[in-house]
Amino acid sequence: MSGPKKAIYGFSLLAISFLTALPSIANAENAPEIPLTLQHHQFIPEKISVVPNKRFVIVLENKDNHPEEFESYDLEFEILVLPHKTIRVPVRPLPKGTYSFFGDFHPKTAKGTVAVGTPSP
Amino acid sequence: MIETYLILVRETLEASLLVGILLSTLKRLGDRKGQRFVLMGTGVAVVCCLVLGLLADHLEDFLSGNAKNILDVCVFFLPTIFLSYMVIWMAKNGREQGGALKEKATAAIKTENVWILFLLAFMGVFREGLETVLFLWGISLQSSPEDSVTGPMIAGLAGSLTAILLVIILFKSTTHIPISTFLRISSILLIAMAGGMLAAGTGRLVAMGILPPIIFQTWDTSRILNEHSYFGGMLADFLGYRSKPPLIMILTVSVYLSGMFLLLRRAEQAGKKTAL
Repeated sequence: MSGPKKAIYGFSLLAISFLTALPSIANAENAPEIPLTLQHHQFIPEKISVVPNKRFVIVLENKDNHPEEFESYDLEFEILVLPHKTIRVPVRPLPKGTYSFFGDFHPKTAKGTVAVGTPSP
Repeated sequence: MIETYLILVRETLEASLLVGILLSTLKRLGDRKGQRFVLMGTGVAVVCCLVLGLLADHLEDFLSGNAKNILDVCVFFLPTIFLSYMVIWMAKNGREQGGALKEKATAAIKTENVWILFLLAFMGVFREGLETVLFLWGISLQSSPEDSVTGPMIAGLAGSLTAILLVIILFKSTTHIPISTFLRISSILLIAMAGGMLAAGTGRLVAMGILPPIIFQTWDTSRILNEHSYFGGMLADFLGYRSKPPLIMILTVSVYLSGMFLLLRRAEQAGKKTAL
């Protein structure tokens, strides 16, 4: 039994050391801010355009009287935004492509995409 | 209203399936203490979620900030480790459980294993539970007349209840399955879930810029199964399905799954030897 137990301690230590390093890395300073609004469970605008391979920050303001979970499988984030609050979501540099995000509490209406490398219409 | 119902069925199903597998497996193994700790973990998680939900207005920094991000990563990686440990432990000790050695093997359950069970149940329920509570809180915030609040509220609660009942029925119906088959199935499910959490955790670390994706989107199966469909979403949250996974995620999950396969075989062989 000592093998797996050691592995657990080892992994946990590794995980903790990783995590203490997180806040500094996750801080995306002087990255361009992309404003996004949530109203009536819809994103405004529904499509945001950014340049490839540059880090950016989505600044999402929730104008609804309902919390929302701002989520993306393509971009791997899942962040709660409380009613009438604003969150900042740093996004890593992305290759060209289209990435979807959505509001997990209202997936039918709250849908949007990040278009990388395609000029906005 | 139906959307509210379906969202809460899904949120609750994820957490209650984990608790259901843990409880029914421990029951099969005759581990009363373990069952108690799973229930305790579940209970504490539900209470924590309710308290956080009530205080949500004052907890913006925690719920939307970096603390939550770090907590999320923990809640992905720690269960992966704990579940793997539990499955290997089951392979080693479960073999003896069916026969005369039952008592001895039950006595072998050590205190630290029990706390792992507690934490597993706690983390599984906490993750989904917090979302459920905040969602219901959101419904109660709707400023429109009273009747428009009670409807969705009931739909939501009914959704949660449906999921819990489904899980109870599912596991009640497994009692006639022979223990060795049952343990095999539950081990596979637990490993699949652990792999899913590993995938999600890896994805999160890639998003944070901590892990390199190697290839950002290795392939695209979204036309076949999309995470934005109800079923796809359930697979995504429960088993870590991604239609466009980064290569590093594919690598970590395949290394993990093959590693677990080897470890399990070795543990089963060791278990056979001690059982003789």
